Amino acid sequence: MAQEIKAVIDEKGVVSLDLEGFHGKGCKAVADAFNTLGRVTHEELKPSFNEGGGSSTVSVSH
Amino acid sequence: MSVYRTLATNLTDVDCLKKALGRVETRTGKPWNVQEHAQPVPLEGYEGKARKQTANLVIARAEVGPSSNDIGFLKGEDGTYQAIISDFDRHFHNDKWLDHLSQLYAEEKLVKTAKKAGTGFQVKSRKVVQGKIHLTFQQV
Repeated sequence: MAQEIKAVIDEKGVVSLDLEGFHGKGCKAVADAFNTLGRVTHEELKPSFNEGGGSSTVSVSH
Repeated sequence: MSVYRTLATNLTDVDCLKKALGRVETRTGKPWNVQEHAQPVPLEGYEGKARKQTANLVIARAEVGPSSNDIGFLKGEDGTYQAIISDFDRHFHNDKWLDHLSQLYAEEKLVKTAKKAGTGFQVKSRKVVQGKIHLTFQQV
């Protein structure tokens, strides 16, 4: 599965990030790089369903 | 493993803020030229007199609109830029306008950060759905 970063920026500038296709600690490292945006209000680690790094899509509200 | 993370945007990156200020809607319909000052300078009122408020980023009153005052952004001790807008100019540059500025800033910051993250990501797609900006990044 190709690595993708999906971002949704709402009308107030709040950013929701969804990182897909990453493996292990590399995923969190990439996510941490975006902490310069501002204060993290919510985080959820999604387990991979298979060795290929597939992941489920989760909707989260802050 | 994947990560879902939500962040509240703080205006800390001056380059991204300047780009966002160049994109945000203006009263005149023309994009602003933003003046940057390492040390805060006094803002000017509509009558051309210096006000007590100071700012690092200044949008001259002539650019803001007729009878307007300078608009400024002052860098605080925590590195966050705060908008300084007169009551008169708040009619147009209100909370909704500031929210949209934050949204544009977040987009600029995301694009800049994505290039650095990992081995470099670029925007694959961008769309606006019901006021929300949706971006997808892929590695080059």
